[in-house]
Amino acid sequence: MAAAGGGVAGLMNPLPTLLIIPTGIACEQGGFAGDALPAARLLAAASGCLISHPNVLNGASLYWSDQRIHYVEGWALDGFARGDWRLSPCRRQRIGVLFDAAIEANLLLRHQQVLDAARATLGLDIGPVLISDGPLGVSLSQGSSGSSWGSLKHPDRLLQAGEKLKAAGATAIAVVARFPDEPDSSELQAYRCGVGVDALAGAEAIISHLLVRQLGIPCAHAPALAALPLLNELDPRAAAEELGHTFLPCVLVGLSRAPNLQPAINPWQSGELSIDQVGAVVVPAAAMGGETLLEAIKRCIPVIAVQSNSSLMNVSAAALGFEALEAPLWQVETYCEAAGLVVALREGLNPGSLYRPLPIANKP
Amino acid sequence: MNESKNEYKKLVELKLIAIQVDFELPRQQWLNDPAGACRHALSAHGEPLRWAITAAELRADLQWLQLEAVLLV
Repeated sequence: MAAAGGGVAGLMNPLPTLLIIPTGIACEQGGFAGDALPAARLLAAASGCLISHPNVLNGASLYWSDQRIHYVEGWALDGFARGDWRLSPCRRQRIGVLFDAAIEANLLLRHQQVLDAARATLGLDIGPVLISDGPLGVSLSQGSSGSSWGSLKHPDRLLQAGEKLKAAGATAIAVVARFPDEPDSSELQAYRCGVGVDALAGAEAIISHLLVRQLGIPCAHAPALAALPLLNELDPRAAAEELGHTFLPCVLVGLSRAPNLQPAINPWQSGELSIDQVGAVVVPAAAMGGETLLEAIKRCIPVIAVQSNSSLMNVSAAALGFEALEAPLWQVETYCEAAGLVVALREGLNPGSLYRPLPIANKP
Repeated sequence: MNESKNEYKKLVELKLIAIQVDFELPRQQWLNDPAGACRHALSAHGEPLRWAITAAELRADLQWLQLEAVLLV
């Protein structure tokens, strides 16, 4: 029996699953510092193959390396969902590192020492390393929805440095940009206490999207910020960002085995993943307005919408008219329930059989 | 040589703008290709770099959408 996603059913065979938690919209899970990692680990165990993005997998100094989890930047994930790219497994990436020239000397040294630590302690392949020709000019803003947005004054400097790193042999790029310190802002205090939006997230996404669009290789971003004073009431979900002086370790680990982005026009190679193989997409139930999810809907990939992961958004399947579609769409309460559905799909079960009441089948 | 000069020119002229747009379209057209409909609406303003639907509503046979986006121009 064929399972959703086109493979053979059963727990010996993975069911490639996409986990999407949009960045910068104050999701209860995944809106802070890698606080969706437990859900990602659970879904990786349930599916045997999880594809997710840095907002889900980055926990600043904390990370979880799992060969079942594929670390794919958001722009690349959209391209994968459109069918423009396949994901090609990679044993080891050579990570080029790009530092924003706006980073002051002491903070730069802290980050350079992270590179040394990653080589010495984790055995990662780091280098070349480059400083941009001038400050990148990161600015933060909010959309009218309240979501986190941001921009770059000098995208040209970012892209030129990225081109140089790629030409010098980098197969993936970690970029560290100096972000504005706003230690007294009420938004930052609220975020540290577990309320509100990650103000950095929107600008981070812009930086990594630009690089992936230009270079076609895995890229991810870590912000450089001054250390914050201790806070007794620090929310556990934000705590990972306050353990050290940088957010870079998780990015280096994520990129170290990130899949290569293979243009769909290239000949198929063994082990590659395409959108046609994806058997489920897991997404917050009221944040269904992103490109990857919309492409999955178009392709009739089963969608599992998690209601408990609320956010600023109210873009549900009902608001988008998707409840009228024949594509399978399940509303579940938690990621635990989502994992159960993924196991059911992987096993080849009809998830509808697990719910009560069970309607009488239509008779001819 | 000319090609790389052109590429450099393209990079230095790159600008980012943030916009909000709202529009409505026939429901069936929307359901046939939701992401394509959004990309099409944004492409009149620039190349979509980051975007999301931030509000949506069914209005009889029309689908109303509000998008926030950062575009390359």
